[in-house]
Amino acid sequence: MITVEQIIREVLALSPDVELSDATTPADISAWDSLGHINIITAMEEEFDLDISPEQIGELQSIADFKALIENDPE
Amino acid sequence: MQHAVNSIIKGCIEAAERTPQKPAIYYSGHTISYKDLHEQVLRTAQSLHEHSVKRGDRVLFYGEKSPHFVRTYLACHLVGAIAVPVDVQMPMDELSKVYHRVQPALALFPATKTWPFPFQEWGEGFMSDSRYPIERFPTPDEVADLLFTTGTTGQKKGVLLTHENIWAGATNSNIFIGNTSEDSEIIPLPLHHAFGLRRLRTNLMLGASVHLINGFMFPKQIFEAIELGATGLCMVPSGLEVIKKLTKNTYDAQLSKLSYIEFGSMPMDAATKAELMDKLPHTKLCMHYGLTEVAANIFIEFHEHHNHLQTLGRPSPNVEIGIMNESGKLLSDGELGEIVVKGSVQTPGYWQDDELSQSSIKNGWFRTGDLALITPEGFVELKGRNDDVINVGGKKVFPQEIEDTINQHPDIKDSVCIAVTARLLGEQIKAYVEMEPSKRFDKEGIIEYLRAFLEPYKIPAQFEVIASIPKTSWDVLGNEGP
Repeated sequence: MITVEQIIREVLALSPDVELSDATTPADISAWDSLGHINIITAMEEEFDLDISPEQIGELQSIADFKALIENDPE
Repeated sequence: MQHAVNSIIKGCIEAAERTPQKPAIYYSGHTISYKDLHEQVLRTAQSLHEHSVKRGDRVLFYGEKSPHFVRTYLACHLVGAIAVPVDVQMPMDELSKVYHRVQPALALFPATKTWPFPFQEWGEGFMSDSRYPIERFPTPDEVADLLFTTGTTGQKKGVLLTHENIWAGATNSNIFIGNTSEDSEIIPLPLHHAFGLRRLRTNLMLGASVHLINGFMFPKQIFEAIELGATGLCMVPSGLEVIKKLTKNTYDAQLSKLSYIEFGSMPMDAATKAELMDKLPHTKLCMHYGLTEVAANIFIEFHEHHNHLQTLGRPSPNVEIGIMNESGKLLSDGELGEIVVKGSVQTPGYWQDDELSQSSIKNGWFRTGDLALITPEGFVELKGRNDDVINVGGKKVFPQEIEDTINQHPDIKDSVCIAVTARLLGEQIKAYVEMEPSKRFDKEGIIEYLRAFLEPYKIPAQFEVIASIPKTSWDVLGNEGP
């Protein structure tokens, strides 16, 4: 199964030498701007068949937050 | 109505004396009162003085949204220095070029990186133990700011703004919007950019409060500021689209609590204007037209001018707008020509570029490069631009700069860039590339290469490889643009 990191790498067109960890936030990656953030959320919804609510979106501030959202999804 | 010329720094210090306990800045859960800001500005100014910064010297620093940006900016003005705030996303190569062009007396940057020029560590520590003794405030004709904007080629334009210019820009928008010292405005825009910086100045000179928010990516921060009592917001239309998307169109519950929103920097489509008027019926929806060189010189308010929403609006208070033909003759209403601007907001020129300074002014009017006509009711109707600028989310990009950078990649023979319509950003860049013989197209590799030279918004969103770039490329490719 594709991982959160793989989706972020693909959406933001990151080169392999850019390091990602659970603690990574948009502030750490220059390509992770507001448009990139929307594209990541859209890709997550499509890939994991989710409908992420505005309240949940508001809590997505790091890679760990994205992982927690997917792990906690009842589906 | 003529207003006495003053300075932003004087207005801010007078506000601190009038209402010392009032919040000046809300930032990341903290509040800085006018009394504290005043103290910090004086100590930062003293620190500039101790680093031998004198009147007319340039001080280079990041235009980041933080309290130490605000105090450094105001302290520069207090000592008579020229503030040169630059984009925090500016690639190092570009920053180095700006440094050498500006020759600053002092460059203030965080010590977390290695910088290719001498610098002083910037942050909380850049405040002296003693206060700068105010002996004078800057005069109207002294240069206050040097702002770098995109030029038609790779060379950025350094726009000079005097204290009179920035005071007039703030005053004129205050008159139109009706800001008072009771306002409290959310500023999510970058502060190296003319729009965000004008809104900061506008509020501080009145003694109003500002909420410094890091962009539109986390709308919750904007909504929390509204809960704290914010009355206004400044934003680009693409920021609104981001908020709409991230809140799944539930933004109006919060934004409708605002007294006003000022939009600018890029066009807004008619459907979005109609939606805003419907969802925010009691919020003053203002939109300006302007350039760094001539701030916010036309304004419209959607509710009041609902019959003229296809236009940019009317000239701002204290600003003259004309329509000029190529030979410099002012045209009558209804005739198509270039928008030209005259008033106290008008830049004295560009940094070390006399040729551009002279060519930008015709018969005392500043030439905007935009084509328009004036309707019989006095509204300015935009019809196009004289050049092929691409507007990516409110930031201007000239294709030649991107093409020149792409063409330096060893695997690429030639390229051409065009604008393509994009829902969120208005326009995005699409690059057509012709590869060198036997070279394979590697999108990630090319993007990584471009990131070393270009700001993120200048990186093309789309690439397409074609066999050869037609010499009459605009005829072949240009029809995809908006």
